[in-house]
Amino acid sequence: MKPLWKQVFDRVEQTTGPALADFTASNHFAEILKVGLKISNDMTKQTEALSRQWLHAWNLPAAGDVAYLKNQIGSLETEVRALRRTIEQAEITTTAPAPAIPLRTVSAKAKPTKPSSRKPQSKRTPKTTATTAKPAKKSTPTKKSKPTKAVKAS
Amino acid sequence: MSPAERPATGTQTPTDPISFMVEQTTRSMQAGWNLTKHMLGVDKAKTSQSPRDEVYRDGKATLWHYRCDNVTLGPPVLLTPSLVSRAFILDLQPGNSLVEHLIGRGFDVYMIDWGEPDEADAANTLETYTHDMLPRAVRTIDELHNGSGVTLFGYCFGGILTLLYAASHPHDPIVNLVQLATPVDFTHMPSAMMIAGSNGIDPEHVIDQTGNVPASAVRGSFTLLTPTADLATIAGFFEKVHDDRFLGNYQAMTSWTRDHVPFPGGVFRQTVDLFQERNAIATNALVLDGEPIDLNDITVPFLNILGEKDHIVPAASTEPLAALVGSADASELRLEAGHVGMIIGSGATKRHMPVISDWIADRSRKLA
Repeated sequence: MKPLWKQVFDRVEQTTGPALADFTASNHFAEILKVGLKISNDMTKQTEALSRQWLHAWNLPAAGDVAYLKNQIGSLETEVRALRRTIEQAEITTTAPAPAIPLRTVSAKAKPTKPSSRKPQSKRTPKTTATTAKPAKKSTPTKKSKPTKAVKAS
Repeated sequence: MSPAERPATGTQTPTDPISFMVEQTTRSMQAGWNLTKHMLGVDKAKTSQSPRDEVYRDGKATLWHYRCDNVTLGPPVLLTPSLVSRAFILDLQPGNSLVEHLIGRGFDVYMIDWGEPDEADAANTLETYTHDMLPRAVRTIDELHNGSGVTLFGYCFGGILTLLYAASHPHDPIVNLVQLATPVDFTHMPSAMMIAGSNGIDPEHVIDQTGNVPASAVRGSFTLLTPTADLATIAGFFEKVHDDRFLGNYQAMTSWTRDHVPFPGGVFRQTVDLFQERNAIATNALVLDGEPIDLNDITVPFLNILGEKDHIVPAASTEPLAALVGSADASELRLEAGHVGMIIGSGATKRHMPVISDWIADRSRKLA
């Protein structure tokens, strides 16, 4: 059996909980939060500006300076990732074997067959499947009506 | 009164006043002892206990491989947790862990832990995860397992990432796709979770000087959903603190629920614009990195798991998913559980996890 204090708490919580949840989900609360956040942000900015001025006067870095530097590092990391992706794509292009040439007898005068240039694919292709053609998309858009299997938890 | 007529011990009150007093005194002493230990941080429940090895680090993200001596099923499973919470929810405690269950079932398990974003990650966008980090993780695992492919498992916002990755990279070695509590129709999301946007708060006002949404704001948004939940948790703690097992579970769970991570600012802006404002996933109007994302491009076996009591990602917001993908083998698993209860707790361990792992096992192959 629950102790008396817990029974009282549960009763109060069951009464006030849904009402509070309704309030926090209301537009009225959103408006209050909006104003509160605006004031809080303005105050933070002013405080930071003051502390930055003071720290800079002593030739010391402020939190904003560190944040700026870390943002720069982040931008560099993003660029490195983009470069890595470009290199990976380039590797796919260079390591992919040339399209298979049908086996046939060629005369000595015949011109060598040029490997056809690969068209850039719209969807990203990994190394392992570089030579695999993209499977044809479903022609009939039946996705909305498609029945799905239901799995039941025992 | 014969012993048979006496009420059972435990939750019922003994009729014998002396026994009652002894029980109450013992209980109070145990509660006092546990409370002291809890306050001092002694014997705290440890989380994320499954032995694991780091495969690589990529920025803040780490790809972990869990040790398993008896891998009987393939392909390996890659778990993808949310961006706004700690990854250890998927490996909470021994006996209460999805990772442990999958290992026990014979799978090789990997997890990508997104880490804690800071200023350097403020510019991260959805593409950072869906076009760079996830593809790299999947391809690495695939190469480590000689091209066996990967079963991809996404939870909550991690589910959005796996979904968009799978749709934008249909040729990547994904063998199965499992989505747990993945919101797609944002018109059904709770209004407290959608407070930022053109009709509400300016997203820039939620982002702090680091360029990210601070962890406190992330936690605050969950608190707004059920404002009295924290108080109820504390009351429950004082009611059951004498129980050692409860204390362990409480400590593990609260260490997760109270420890959110900042949300990268770039992803937050996209979330507000693409998902909340335009509902782009449900309407199939999503464009990432200049290319349209069509969920119909997902053709691998697909499982959508939703919780009927989920108040964070309501069932209605994730229901359309199985119909949006192009998989011929698309299934839906409805669980009588909340957002966390789907994978944590005795119900999850006994009922939910076996169904999920059975589904994956049926679409995996036995290894020699």
